[in-house]
Amino acid sequence: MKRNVQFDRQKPGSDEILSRRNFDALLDQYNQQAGKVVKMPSSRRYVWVATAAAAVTLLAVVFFYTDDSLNKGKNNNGLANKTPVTKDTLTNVADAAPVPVPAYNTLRADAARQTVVEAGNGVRITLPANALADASGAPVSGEVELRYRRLADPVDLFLSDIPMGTQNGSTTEAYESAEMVEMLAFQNGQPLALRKGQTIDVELPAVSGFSPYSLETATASWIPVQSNENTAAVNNQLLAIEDLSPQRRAEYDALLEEQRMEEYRITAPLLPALPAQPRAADPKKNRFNVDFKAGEFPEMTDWKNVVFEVDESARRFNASVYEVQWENVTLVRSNREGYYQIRLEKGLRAEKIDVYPVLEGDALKAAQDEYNAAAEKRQQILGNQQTQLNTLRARIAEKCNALRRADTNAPQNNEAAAGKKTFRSGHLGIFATLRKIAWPSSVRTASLMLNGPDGKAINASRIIHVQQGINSIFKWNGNPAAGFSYNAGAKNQLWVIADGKLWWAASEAFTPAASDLRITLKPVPAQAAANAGTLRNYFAL
Amino acid sequence: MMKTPAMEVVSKYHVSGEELNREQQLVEAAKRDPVQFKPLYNLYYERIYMYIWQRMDDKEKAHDVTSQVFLKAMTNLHKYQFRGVPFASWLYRIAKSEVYSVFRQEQAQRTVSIDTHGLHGMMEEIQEDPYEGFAPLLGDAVASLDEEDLQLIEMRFFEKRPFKEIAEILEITENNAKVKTYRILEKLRKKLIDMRRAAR
Repeated sequence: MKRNVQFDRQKPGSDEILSRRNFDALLDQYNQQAGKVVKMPSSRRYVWVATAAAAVTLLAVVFFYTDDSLNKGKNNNGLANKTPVTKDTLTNVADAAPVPVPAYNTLRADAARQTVVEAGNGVRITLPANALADASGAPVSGEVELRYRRLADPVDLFLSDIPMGTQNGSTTEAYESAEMVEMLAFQNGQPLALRKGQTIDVELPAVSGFSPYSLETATASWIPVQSNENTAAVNNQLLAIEDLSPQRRAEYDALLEEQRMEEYRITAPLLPALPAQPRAADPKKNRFNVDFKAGEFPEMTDWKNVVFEVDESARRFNASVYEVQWENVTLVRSNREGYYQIRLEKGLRAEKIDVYPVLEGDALKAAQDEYNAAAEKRQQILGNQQTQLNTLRARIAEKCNALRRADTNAPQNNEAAAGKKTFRSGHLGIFATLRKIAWPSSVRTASLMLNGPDGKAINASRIIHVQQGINSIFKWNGNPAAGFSYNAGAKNQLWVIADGKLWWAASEAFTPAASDLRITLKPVPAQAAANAGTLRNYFAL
Repeated sequence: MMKTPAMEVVSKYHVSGEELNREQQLVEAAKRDPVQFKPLYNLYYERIYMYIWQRMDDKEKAHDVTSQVFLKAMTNLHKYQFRGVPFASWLYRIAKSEVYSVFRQEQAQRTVSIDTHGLHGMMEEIQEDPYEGFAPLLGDAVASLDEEDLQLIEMRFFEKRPFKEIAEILEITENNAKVKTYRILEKLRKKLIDMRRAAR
């Protein structure tokens, strides 16, 4: 094996590494390889295979897994192929679903000359001459590519996955945006940063009640920019982390370590186990009734009158099995979550039938109630954990930024621009004028359950609630979403990512108002999700 | 006479019995429900990343491989058996396998990240009279070790892991890890003496 010897490499900082953690993406990846959508045939047969029918020997619990399970990740390289996320960029919703990312405008510029970027609607960013550096901190010369875009409305905020929620003590609030712009720089496809001590001037239109903020993408939190009488001459320069003094860097790393251990403490308590999600029987499907020992399949212990429908997605069902008096009938778990296999033997003949358990009538209702109650309890715990995490992260981010500001000695910009909020920033990234608003809840509160068109609950990875007239997005996690609130007097919509697809619900789905809101989502057609503009037209919020 | 390899080590690896039990509870919970894997992911992401980065030249690639390690860990969690050692040792073994797999598939160079401070620690271990000029030579000598020996040396001297942790990652006994390290250092010492003679 060839070797490349390097002495005293500069180690990446904790913050840089931790900013790349993305458990949701990992979980999506895991779920994608763990299960596939199953389509069932529609012929109907019904048969009992039970103790009375034959000498039935039940039931050894056999776990079987494919030998190549260690290699499952090898060809499933979604994570490995993701676009690198630097401190100055965010993930996009497009990472999780086939939807577009709001397009960047591109401007090629000479790094040695001052460049003024006019992003539209009075947004202007001034980049001084010789202000850019590469990843190693070395000054950059020659042609550079400036990528910029305004994130003007909830569709842009959603697609760019901009964090708009904030915590004020125990109260969840949101930021509403009056203007938002992102600017990044690249050379030969590699991201650039500002050189130590360099700043850019950012001008945003002044809107009454809105203040300038800068997005700290490492912690996904908005940092208010100190303003001078709400107009100009503000200084928000944060020293680059690698430029902190050794002592402050040690304090900075200690804060991140504290955050990591606290996150562990918050998320470590075990969540209550979620029972298997019950499925409704389909009278058109082939099915078996199998008498199994409840103790060997605890996930089905509380279910009454379970029957097993045949899954023909991978193996065609041979109806002749109904004609045979089998000597041995064995039920084992499949390596697919929620699936099982019935193994039938008689003499030299053996059959394997892929099945999944279903319920009907009162048994189905009782199982669904139990599942919903457990899911709600679990969601409450997750919600509490998230609240604690948000508070923790905001506290640590504030302390970290205080350390970075304390080292800063940036010149003040004293040229006020009428009707503008102008400030200086020591980094590229996302800037906005924002104000805090209450989460929509003035009329109704509800717990929210989302179903697909087939009436089954969907596994939502992102739930975005938007309200007409508010330039923000309200993010919820998981389905059902406990404590969901909305303004029943306004026009509301839901945009949901589930199973790698984009779904939505129009305002009609919110009526009649109910304390337990159950909404059936509709898939967003591919042509509507072609780009941010088509999506905006489709939602017509 | 060579000193016993007993340099100062830096590790967040070892935990109390109570913490081990708690961690094991998390693992068992994650076996039943993948969402419960999150605390383990959050806790170990940085350590696994650093292990991979140490052996790879490319930061981004190291992140990709780290993701693959955790994906494999989740996929194969049902096979994990608690043996009274931290969960991290299992993750490190997956990381080791994944790193070598990348090197093989992409015919990429394996990076040896040598920390000068660790190299001086080695000089103290193998020489009565450390001679600064030999540090680069020792670096070359270390880089020429066979893979198994190199892993031991880099974990001990450049990553500053205790022998107990090294032993658990390499699935050998702690005593065996010490003996092997002693022999490798002896090998390096002889190599250095030859180099010194050649230089005169």
